Amino acid sequence: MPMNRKPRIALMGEFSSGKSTLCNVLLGARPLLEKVTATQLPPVWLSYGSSPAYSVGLDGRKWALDVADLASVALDGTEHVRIFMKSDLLRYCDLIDMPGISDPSMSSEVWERMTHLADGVLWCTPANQAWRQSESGVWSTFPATMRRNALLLVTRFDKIVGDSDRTKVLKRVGGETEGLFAGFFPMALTQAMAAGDDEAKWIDSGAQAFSTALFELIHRVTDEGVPDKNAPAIPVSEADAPDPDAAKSLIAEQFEQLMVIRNTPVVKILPRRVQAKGDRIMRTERPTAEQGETVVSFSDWPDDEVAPAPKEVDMRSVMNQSKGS
Amino acid sequence: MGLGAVVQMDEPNAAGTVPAVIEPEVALVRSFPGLRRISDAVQEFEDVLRDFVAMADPETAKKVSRIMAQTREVEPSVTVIGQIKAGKTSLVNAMIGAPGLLPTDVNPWTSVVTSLHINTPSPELNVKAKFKFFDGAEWDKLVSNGGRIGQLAARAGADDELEKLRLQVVEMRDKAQARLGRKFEMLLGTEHRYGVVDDSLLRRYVCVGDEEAGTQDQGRFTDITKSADLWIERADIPTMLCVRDTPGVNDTFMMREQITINAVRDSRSCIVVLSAHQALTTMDMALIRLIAHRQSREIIIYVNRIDELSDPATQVPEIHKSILETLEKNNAPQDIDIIFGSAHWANAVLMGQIDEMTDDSTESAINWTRAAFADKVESWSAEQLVWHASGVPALLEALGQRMYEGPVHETLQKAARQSLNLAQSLDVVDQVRILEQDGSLNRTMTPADLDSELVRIEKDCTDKLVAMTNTVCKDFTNRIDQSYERFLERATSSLIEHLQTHGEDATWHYSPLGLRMLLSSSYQVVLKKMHGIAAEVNADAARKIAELYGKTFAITVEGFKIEVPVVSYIPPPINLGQTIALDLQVGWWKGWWQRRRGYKAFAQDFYNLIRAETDPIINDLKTIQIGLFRERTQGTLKDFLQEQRELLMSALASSEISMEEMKELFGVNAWEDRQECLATIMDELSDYAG
Repeated sequence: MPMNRKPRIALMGEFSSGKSTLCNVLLGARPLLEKVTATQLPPVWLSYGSSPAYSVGLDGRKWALDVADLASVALDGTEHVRIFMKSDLLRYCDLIDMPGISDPSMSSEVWERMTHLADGVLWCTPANQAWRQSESGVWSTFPATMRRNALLLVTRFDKIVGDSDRTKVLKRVGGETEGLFAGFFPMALTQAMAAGDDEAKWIDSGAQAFSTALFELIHRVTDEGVPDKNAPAIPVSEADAPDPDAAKSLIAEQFEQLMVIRNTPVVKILPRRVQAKGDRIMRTERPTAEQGETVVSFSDWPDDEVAPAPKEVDMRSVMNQSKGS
Repeated sequence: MGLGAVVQMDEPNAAGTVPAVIEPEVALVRSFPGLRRISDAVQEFEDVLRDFVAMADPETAKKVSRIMAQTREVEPSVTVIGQIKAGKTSLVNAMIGAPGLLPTDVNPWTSVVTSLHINTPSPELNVKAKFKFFDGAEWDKLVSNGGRIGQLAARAGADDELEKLRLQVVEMRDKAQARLGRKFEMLLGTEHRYGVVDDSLLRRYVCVGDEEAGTQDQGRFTDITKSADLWIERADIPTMLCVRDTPGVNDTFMMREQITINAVRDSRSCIVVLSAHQALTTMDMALIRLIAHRQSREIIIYVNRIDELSDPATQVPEIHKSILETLEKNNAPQDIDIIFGSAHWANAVLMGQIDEMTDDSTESAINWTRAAFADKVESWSAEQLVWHASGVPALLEALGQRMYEGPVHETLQKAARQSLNLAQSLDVVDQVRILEQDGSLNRTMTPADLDSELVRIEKDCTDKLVAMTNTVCKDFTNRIDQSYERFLERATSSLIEHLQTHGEDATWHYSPLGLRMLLSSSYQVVLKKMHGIAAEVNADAARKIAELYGKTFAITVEGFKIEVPVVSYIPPPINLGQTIALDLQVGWWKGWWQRRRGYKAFAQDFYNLIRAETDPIINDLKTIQIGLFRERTQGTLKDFLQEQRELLMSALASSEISMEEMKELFGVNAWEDRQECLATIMDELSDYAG
């Protein structure tokens, strides 16, 4: 049985490794402080909606919070900050922006006590100092089962100049992190943020490949997840309807395309900026005989039933076709 | 878009003489006033000694020449440390003005401690490069000492790291064995020497091997190379200088880290290289803590890679503030110099390639020069601007300043005092001759008498030094033992209190900061006392020797005194900064916590754990550090007394040569010249001896 709430994706990595920039790219907005030095914030849990923000103390008590005063939240005594915003991406998942590891001014407990909430992890490692022992050490303390729900983002990839150097870095990172993540993605986050309608720039920044993988991850986590007994206070339904005023995220836009592909029984040529019709966000309906074969399925097949082999479809060629139109 | 073009645009040069293409050799004159001052000081001092040699008798001249040779050997050294990929090797290349000398790569690359000896004569004829290999025992030691690895930075998962390190070392050994075949065993413990330094040579010994790079020779010997020494001539660097490049810490290949930690022990000055986009992580703090017990004047922080910032003018002050705050919060030594820059820019200037930098890098350079060198934008060439923006000249200036005030000053002072004592003794002998001529000399001592007087002074002084040292060291030992016990008691009772209030499930923390500060301040106190004792005993010895001169020749010379010897530099203890279990808030410390069950077990196990963790530190202080005190202070006294014995004995012997004979030897006028000369030399030496 799939999860009855949105998956929570934690953003992790050393401080100043690009987590906040990633968060902004994901959300298509800038709710969080982005600084060259370490950001001294407790974990920030972002969900879809317009409810007022609050902070949760270590004692579990909630305090009203003005998002403009985010920087003034006390690190001591605050477990996490909860912010609601209307960003397209948050219709698919919640994000937990964790404080950076290896910050001498912040105890690791600050993020450690929140890690159990995460269903998936996006780990940022800067390309020019990629995958150091301090990261490897922390990641080794996570349960091994988390690895297939985790993506490694090699950020600041545009700072590596030249193809041969880029290949070398990826070769090393790939070798060092073999089996530790579901995949690793070179990313130029600032480029992705500035891509706008420039498709080539979007692909070049690495954001497209990453978005596709994140999309898969979110659905896998949902499908394989266990229903949460402590169902979240926010009803899932609130997030379902697209809101024209919501912050537009390029990643969410790509999700919608992928969503359409997923939910379409036959391969159709789709315009790039097609809007998903209807409100099916997280789950595809079981294909019926009338609908014919499904392109890709992520429904949870009962163990005793043999799932029909989905027809092989090369996702990239589908995307390329859609781009061409 | 090259920066050269931009600056020219901004530069309404009145004469219009700025050439379209600026040749770097012309546009950039590397000058290092800080280093120049060192060479000037040494040069001036040598001139004084040369005068001394010219006027002295052959015996004395030989002694002065020896002192001069020792002074010439002063090679101030600095070690560059930091995390992997912070840009240490690029910085070293930029500092010595030889971009590309040490090979760099986009992945961690340096795996050997490489000492670059600039302008220092090689100790062996025609040897310009020397590579030492590990011997079997050292290799094993690296593995067994690895117990502290990973804990260095309070890193998570440190218990798995030791095992990982072991596997890495075994793998490395196997790899080396496969690569070198039967030569492997033969090479261990030996060294290779070469008469030239070139890129392919370095790649064979100091770079990580890369199987797919096609060059199978690359990294051929790297796995077994312990250290590399290169002797290089750089005409534009005015002094001798040793710059040490190290493998980065926080590498997933942890062997390299262990090599670096061992190298840090041997270094007096350190440059800690940080990366601008992520300044001062827990790992950097651990490094700084490791070297924190030397004076802050001996640590410089260089924040590299500001070329990768989009707006350095705004971001650098922000980073600076954050570094200062972190240092303060973590009780790091104060007044550490922080210099911002980019080794990448420096190397681009040195290679004449600033027009080939990426647009981003150029934009940052413009942004930073406008902020930092606003007053120079008009008058400097693009090369000069980028060169200064790179921070490398400022770094060398700061380094020169520290070396001048530290090791160079100490060396000159020591040499000057030794020379002055030589001159004093010559002067005494001359006075004796004058008195003898007047017939007013009353020679009372035979060489045998003098010898027994000397033996008495030697014994008295040495006994006094040993006795005083013993008292102070005993106090020190008691003091740290007490602090240590009190710390253990306080921590254990805090633990019990925690258990009573919060139960066993909540994790408990106790900061080892208190213990560390107690140990550190106890050390500072004992260090000061030891210097005090040494100064007292040495001064006492000098006074007794001066008296003995008077007694031997029954004369009083106005202003006659013997210079007190300088105690040589005592390296600070390094393991005070070592991470102990209590520093660790994750990883095995937490594991330890969770594995313990039962109320009593906590307290007893905790006591034992902290004891086991801190005992080596305490013992190290009590044995190694106190041993160093004894060795240095007693060594200084012994050398001084030996020197004075020789001087007195030869003075007694040479005073028997009569004035008539002297005048025959030197000529009447020369004799008077000699007197004047000696007075001048003593005057000049006094300036350095203070």
